[in-house]
Amino acid sequence: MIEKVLVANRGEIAVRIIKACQERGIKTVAVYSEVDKNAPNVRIADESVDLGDPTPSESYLNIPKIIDAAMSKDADAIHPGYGFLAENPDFAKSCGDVDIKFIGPPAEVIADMGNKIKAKNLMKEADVPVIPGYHGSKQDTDTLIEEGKNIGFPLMVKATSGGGGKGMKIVRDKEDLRDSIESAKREALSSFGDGSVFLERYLDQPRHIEFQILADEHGNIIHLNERECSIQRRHQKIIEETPSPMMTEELREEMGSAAVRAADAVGYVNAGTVEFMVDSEHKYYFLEMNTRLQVEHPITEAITGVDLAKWQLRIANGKKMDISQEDVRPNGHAMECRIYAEDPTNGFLPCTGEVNKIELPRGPNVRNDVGIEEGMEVTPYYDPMVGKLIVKGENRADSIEKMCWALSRYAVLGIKTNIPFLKEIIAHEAFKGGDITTHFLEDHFQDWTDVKEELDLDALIALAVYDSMHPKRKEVVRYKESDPHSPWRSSGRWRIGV
Amino acid sequence: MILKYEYGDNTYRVEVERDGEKYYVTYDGNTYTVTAAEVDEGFLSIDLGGREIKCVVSESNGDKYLFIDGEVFEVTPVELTGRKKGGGTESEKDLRSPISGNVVKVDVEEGDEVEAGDVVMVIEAMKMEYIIKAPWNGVVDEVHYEEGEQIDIGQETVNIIKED
Repeated sequence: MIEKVLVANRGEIAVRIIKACQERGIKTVAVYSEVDKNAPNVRIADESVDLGDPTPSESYLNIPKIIDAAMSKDADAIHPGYGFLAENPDFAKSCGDVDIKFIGPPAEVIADMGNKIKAKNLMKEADVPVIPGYHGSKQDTDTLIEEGKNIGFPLMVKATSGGGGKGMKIVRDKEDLRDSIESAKREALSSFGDGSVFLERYLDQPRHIEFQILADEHGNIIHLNERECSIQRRHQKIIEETPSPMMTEELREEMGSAAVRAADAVGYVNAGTVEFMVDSEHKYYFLEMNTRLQVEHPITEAITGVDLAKWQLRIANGKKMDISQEDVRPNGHAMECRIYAEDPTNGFLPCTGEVNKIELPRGPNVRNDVGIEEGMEVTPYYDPMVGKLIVKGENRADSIEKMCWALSRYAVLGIKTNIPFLKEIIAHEAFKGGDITTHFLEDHFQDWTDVKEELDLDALIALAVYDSMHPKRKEVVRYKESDPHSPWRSSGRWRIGV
Repeated sequence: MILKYEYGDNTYRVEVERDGEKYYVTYDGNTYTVTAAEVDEGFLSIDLGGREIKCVVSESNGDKYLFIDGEVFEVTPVELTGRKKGGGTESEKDLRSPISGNVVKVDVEEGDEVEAGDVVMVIEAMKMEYIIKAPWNGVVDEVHYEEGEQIDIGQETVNIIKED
């Protein structure tokens, strides 16, 4: 039995996992780098270990330090959270080497799924559709044309060593194939010094839809429906929801069983996610498998009532799942917004600084997972996500209404956040219509910036009143001496200079 | 007391007189009489002629943050800084760090000749890298940071004397 878990992470996810452990009566150990020593996860854990240097490679990514911390505190399991070491097979293996249970899938599974080509081949074998493509080493134009014809159109020619849009061509007709391949190769050669390209079916209006999986050590695997994660900024998800507005019962059944097959094929254990791309014709293709608890797991919890973090602990303990696929009966609609410390007026650059005031929206079916508190510093060392706002509604329209309300009552002062941006997305007609693809933000918010308008009268009055209530110290003294009616005078000497 | 706030490109001059719970706020020739209470630290409830304004105010590094009606405003009190924020020409701004982070690479030394577009410094923050490039041809006069040092947003990275 697991009696003490070291949580090898920081921020909101560390808090989330520690609470799940506490509910199950399991002791917890937090780890922290020196800039995180006042973080809430450190305070609520039973014990904590200082990792020192905040540089990720010296702290949350440092396998020997974390293993040593676990051993020094006699922890018998490690939960990696997400990010950092969560999908590092060496870390999972290092835990096993010293008889510490890694709460997640076996190291080999993490390694297999981390290798894109191997993952794709395993999926093909399991009859899970993958995006048709050619990644071969034969690079003569005639071979590429033949392969292109097999893949079908529209297809994408992309530089193997490329990035961004350079060396990328979309071909909609086989007549254009030769010209596009030759042009992509030239561009690839001049931009990256390597003229090799690969071909892949291009998905029109793609959506990112993923399925949550739970698998125990006894061969039982279930899925907990989909999450729609198409709203992404630079490949970073920012709003997720479930169910997806495009999902039909038939497609869910089909994709859900494909996801279960995928998990089965790789010998998956614990919580995981199978990501798919879905095109405008509802054809779906395996994208990748995330071998960890996802950032957006709370929306699945909201509609299924299944506590994924607790199931991770039970499964790691060897418990047999007592939920079958038929028991998964989702209810309502849930949505998550990721709150980032970013400046929407300045190209979404990460924003650091002290958080001096937080007031979170509270109400029925509103969940806040946060890792910051008043007085804490948002540092430049780690991911700028500071919290997640999750709401659950009776249906999608109800969730949107609730999310609008919650975002308009989400006060984080001292740092800039992406909340103004989130509000505008949620209020957008296309979003409300469920008409979302991974291109949504490029299509509708390409040049969006938070427009600084004038301060209105209410704001000015509020500032003036506040400043009048909180004058600087020398002014406090002046009030005391000169104004017999000043409340500072009657409030007593002890308040002055506090 | 007289207060000056800067928001966006505008400066606002406000006068406020206090008499117990009453405040006389004068802006743009009009005086507004309000009563106000701080119901919790930073949480104000202001009565303006029977209409209630609720807001949250906090301060950090001299700036004031105001949450009102679902929106956050970051306002700079002018007398505290003594100079306008965000000043300087476009080109001067280009040599300032756009972010607080770590200097991971310094590509120039004092005395180096640089051309417009040359990389002078790379700053890393939150897993992303920001590249500072020379805005003009010239000679590096001063390098303010070394590799591994922390740099704050708005700080000058290097000084480059413009070639005539």
